[in-house]
Amino acid sequence: MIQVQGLTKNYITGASHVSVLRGVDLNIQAGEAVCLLGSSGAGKSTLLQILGTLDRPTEGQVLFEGASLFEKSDDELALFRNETMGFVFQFHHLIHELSALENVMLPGLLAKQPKEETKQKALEWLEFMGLRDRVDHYPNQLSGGELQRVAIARALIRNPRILLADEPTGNLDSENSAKIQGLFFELQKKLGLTLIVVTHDLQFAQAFSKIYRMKDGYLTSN
Amino acid sequence: MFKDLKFKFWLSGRLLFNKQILFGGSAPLSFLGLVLGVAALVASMSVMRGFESSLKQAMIDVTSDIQIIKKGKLIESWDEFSAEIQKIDPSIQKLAKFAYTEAVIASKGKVSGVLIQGFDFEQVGEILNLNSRVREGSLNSAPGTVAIGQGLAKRYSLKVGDEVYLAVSLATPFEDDNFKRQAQAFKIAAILDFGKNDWNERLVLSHLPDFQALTQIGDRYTGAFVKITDSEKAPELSHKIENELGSRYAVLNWYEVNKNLFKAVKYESVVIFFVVFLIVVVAAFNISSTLYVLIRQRYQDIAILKALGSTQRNIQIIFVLQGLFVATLGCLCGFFVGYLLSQGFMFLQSQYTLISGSVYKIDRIDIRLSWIDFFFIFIATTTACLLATYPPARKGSRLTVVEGLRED
Repeated sequence: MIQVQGLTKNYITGASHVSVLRGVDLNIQAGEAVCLLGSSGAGKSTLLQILGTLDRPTEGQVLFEGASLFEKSDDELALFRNETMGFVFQFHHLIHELSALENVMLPGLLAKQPKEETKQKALEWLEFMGLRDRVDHYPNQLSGGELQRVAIARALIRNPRILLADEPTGNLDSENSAKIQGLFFELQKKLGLTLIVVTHDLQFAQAFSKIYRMKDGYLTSN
Repeated sequence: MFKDLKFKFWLSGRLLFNKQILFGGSAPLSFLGLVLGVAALVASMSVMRGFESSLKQAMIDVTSDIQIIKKGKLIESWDEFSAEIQKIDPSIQKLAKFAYTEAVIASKGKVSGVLIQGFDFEQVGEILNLNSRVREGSLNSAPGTVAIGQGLAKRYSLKVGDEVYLAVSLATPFEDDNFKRQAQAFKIAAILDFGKNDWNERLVLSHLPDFQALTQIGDRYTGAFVKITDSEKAPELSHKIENELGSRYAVLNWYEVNKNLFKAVKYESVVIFFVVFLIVVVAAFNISSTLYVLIRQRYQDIAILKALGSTQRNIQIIFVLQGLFVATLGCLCGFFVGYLLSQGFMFLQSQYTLISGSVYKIDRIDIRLSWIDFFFIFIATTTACLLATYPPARKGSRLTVVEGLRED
């Protein structure tokens, strides 16, 4: 499904030249649950961002079902993300001025989907997440675990084929962390999602079918 | 398209109207600047419009749309004369005869020059709007009475019921070879605000028979007041009448009598609009800088919107719409504050002398708020705000997702 070939990413800040990814090759099959493991600064988040088309590589390419993603324009990539990918970040990144329901509806509304249909879908996902009674609550009225579940519902409303998560449990206590981890695998099985998760939590990583380790911008083992 | 725009309006509004923005930082001050700018525009435009319309109304109320004055000898036959005028154009509605002459007024040991106008009060009631200008007494048809302007009344400390002497020279323009003084006492029946300073100081209205007796002109007239269907067409029609009647008559209309003044007011209005509009432009720059700050605070939200599939153009539109919201609200609040300022000006004008009649020709301005002015102020303000919000909106939309997510 996803083929990564010779991916490099360099940042130039002033006089210094930082190589974050140094020739990464990777194949991810449809429906796989893939974990990117590594210490801080290893380049795993940068790889996830490039896989999620949130950033462009310096060199190399990412093929999605054989088509090179970064030959697309920014607007085409935005549409691709909306239709194909769901994102969950370490911090929920919900919009504070919108209720839980409105936050979940956002991707649907951005895709110009009918409002009522989008609302119905959002309510269904929030109910699945156990948040039926929290739909009108604003982010500042929700707990950390609830916020992350709203963020997951938002990632799923467009029925994505790939769910990308960057340290999704990194900001949660152990109880909520376990719940969210369980939820990811439940969703992956239920929806047949391709799951790509960045974590440094070994216990969480062990539950994945494929684990890639990263160090200093290299994919060292799988 | 419409549905999409509705969504953008909704999201733009939700991102803009929150407590942090409404009650904190520089946003309320920028907004206040815009409101004050618009209010200043509304107030200044309403004063200029009011000045123009007060002057115009005074002209039409006191001198009618068009005046036709016979040069040389006086008009002998009113019926013949009025028939000749009325057949010139169907838009001529009514005519009223009048006569005038320079005179001297004497009262309480003081004398000064005045202009006496004699006419049939009932007949001119259908053409001139003098009744609305009466400040004391009433315009009645009692013989031996006159009406004077409030400036003259104030200068001579005259009240309704007081007596004044009017003296005229009988030499000109009526009889070239006969020069003698004719004086008569008149009782003041009414004191009027003619709306124009020189009239208030000089104009004396008398009944036509009294005037004819004083000036010994018999049943003859100087000219006619003319009322037409549309006062705005007076300049055009007066030229037509002038062409028809030839050089025997002088034809004056309300606009041409004060043409230079009306032109000056128009030019001043434009200049004042642009000068005061600078306040709005400065306010728009403030809004622009505030929006830069707001967009800086929104980096994460922009990044998330982009991650969820929003295009650069969508982000740009969302923030430009915020500029539109601010401009629209600023205009509405500014219109209201401007209206209050105008009312305040009216109140102060009723309590104090704010305008010197000797300088501005009129000593009171009736504020006039025009929809056209509102429209132009709205268009100018929203355009300035939209132009000012475009650069920060563009900058925000160009932010990459990764840059935005780094703002943790």
